[in-house]
Amino acid sequence: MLMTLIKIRLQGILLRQTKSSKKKGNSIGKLILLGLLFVYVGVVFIGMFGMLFYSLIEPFAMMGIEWLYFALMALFIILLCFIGSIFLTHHEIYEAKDNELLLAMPIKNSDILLSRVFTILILNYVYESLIAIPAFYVYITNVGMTMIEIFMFIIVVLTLPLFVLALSCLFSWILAHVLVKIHRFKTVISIVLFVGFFGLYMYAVNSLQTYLVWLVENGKSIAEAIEKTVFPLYHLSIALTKGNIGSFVIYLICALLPFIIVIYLLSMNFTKMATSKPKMKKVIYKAKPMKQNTMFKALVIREIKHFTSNAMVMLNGAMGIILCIIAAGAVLIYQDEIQMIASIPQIQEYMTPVLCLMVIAVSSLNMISASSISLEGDRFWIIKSLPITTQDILNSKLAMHAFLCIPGGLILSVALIYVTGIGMIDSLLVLVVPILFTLLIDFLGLLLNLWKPKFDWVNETVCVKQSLPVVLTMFISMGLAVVIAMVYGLWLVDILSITAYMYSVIMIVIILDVVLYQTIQTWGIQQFEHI
Amino acid sequence: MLKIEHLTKKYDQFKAVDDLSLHIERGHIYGFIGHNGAGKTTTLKAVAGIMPFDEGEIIIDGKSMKTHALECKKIMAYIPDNPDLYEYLTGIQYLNFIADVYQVSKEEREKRISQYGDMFDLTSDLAQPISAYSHGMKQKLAIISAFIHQPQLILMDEPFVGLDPKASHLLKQIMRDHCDRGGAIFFSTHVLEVAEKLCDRIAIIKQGKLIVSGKTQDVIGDESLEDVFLELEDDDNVNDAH
Repeated sequence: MLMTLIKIRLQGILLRQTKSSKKKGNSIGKLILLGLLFVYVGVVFIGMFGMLFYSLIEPFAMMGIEWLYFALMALFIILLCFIGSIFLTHHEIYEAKDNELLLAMPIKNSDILLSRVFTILILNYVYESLIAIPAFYVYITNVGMTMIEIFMFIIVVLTLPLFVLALSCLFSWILAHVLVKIHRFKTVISIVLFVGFFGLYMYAVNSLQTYLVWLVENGKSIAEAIEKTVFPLYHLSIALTKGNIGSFVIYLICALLPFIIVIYLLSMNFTKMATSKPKMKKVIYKAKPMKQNTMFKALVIREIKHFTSNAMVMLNGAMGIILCIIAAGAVLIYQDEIQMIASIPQIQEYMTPVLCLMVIAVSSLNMISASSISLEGDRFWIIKSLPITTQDILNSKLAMHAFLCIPGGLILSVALIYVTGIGMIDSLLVLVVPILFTLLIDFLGLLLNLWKPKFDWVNETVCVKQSLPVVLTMFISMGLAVVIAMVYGLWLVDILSITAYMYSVIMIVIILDVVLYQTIQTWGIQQFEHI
Repeated sequence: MLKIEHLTKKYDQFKAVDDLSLHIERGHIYGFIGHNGAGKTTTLKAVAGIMPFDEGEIIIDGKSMKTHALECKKIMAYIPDNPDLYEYLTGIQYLNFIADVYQVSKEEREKRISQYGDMFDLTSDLAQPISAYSHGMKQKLAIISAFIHQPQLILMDEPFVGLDPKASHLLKQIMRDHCDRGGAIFFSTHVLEVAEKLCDRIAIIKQGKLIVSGKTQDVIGDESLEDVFLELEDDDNVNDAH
């Protein structure tokens, strides 16, 4: 039974990833794109961790604490897998749509739970490979490993995600308990948690260099601390570096026991948790004087209410807004340093384009319009059956993206203008250029979503995380800032002045804005009507 | 009020609706009956302007759905078989959204929301998010939203599914009142007893083709609608009660 459930879940995942909504069969183009995406992410992460491990191995070996290398590898794996799978764990276990269907069948709770856990486990193995592969390569090429150590390494790689699963299952259990009690604040809590974890991650990435130096300088004392306090990690490391079987058994017990206990406890509580309805205090409707809105305003309000109703949709579609506000705060906090850099004469010539690019780059993580058609899902019939022109529907989606994203960019622009004290014309450019760019991404996202809408989702998060229009919009918007800078730096620096180049780019963006908007008003309308 | 002329809708090579023609006059409740997959929902969706069709014509109050979709939609309402509404809105927000789209004045919407809300025992729940509604409550909300702008033509796909007996009874009354005031209703149902008692006219569809249509009494004769339907389901000949 367990194997059947696992097979169904894997089929579901595979179908979600590869099947286009209208066509039968798998889309080869989508498979290639997904493959390229995985390769890109894989190369970036493996390269990053490879460099990190390479810089650690030599000093650790010199200090005679090679084992700390594997302790750190395990720690990184635990952190990455935990942060990467925490929300999926909650969704897979407690919010799956087929929970009630499966619970009504003669299937053991533990089998249902394990089949869901297996899905998360696969994801964890993918995350783990980004760290374990470079760690293994760097170690074996620099220090070398015996056959028994290699065997133990493989077992560690297979079992470590089980320990992480125990942690994330436990956390999701706590989360489910909390959310059942305070359902009304689910969106806010999810956002706070996500931003918290994201902030932690960003902080860790930014401080990596500092910690690297600190790790190397204080290797011995850290090793002693780990040996005394986090003994499973110590035994894992001893097993891998010295082939110590006793340590290996201790590690295995420490990794597997929490997993077995958590799965047992969860399966005991599974029915209760999976079928609990959020406790909602019933609000009795009291008639109030009503307000009549224009049709367009009603459509925009509907779009905004929809977008803000799901924390995961907001976080995935509008990360740029949050980053813009965080960046504006950082600019104000570090204004002395920024002013010092801005006062360097060689920098001043490049100041305005750099500031524009900064706002563009930070706000490039906004992809709201790219999922706005798909998010209609099985409620698409409502706007299709109402007497609303397609133009109004599409414009309301564009307006939502613009209304939500432009203010975030403006806040960052104003902060940068205030801190750098640039002139009037330059300030105007720093304000206007990111708006033009935001509109470009707005139009592009909607067009891509009109081209490839996806309505057969079970959870809205699929639209913003796994749909082709969102992935394409993200790559194009993030790539644009890089391309603009690279084109000038590589080819045009000796031909054009930076000011002339900036105005040329602005003109191109304006032309693209007009062309894309016109395409929406012609091809886009036709396409919408044929969906 | 509604003229469907030679409507054909294909899914690839499969004809979901095949050369279907129907005329629905003002004042009539028109029942649309057929087995699962016969083409009822496809026909209703084509009439509602949700689904483009391949051949034929749909005329609503003298205007073509192909060329004047907006004008057609302004005077009708559609209630689907599964009321998937905007779960992120509260009941009252949804009704206000529909009223805004149809530009129903403040006074009119207040009056109608109160009237239909009380009628279907939904008023006290209107501040709740739709995600907290049961299937029946969503169905009631969809019905209220359909009547909020006083459409002339109402299209309903299995409107009685999920309704409690009281709400079903009320809906039948409202449907009758609507048609007595000069409106028209075109609805699909599997509840043959309801269709027999409620409908002025009936059409039976099989594998996308209309096999019989006409006045309810003419269609069923001395038999029950259930007997007629089962006989026709077994019989491949196309008949017309007229």
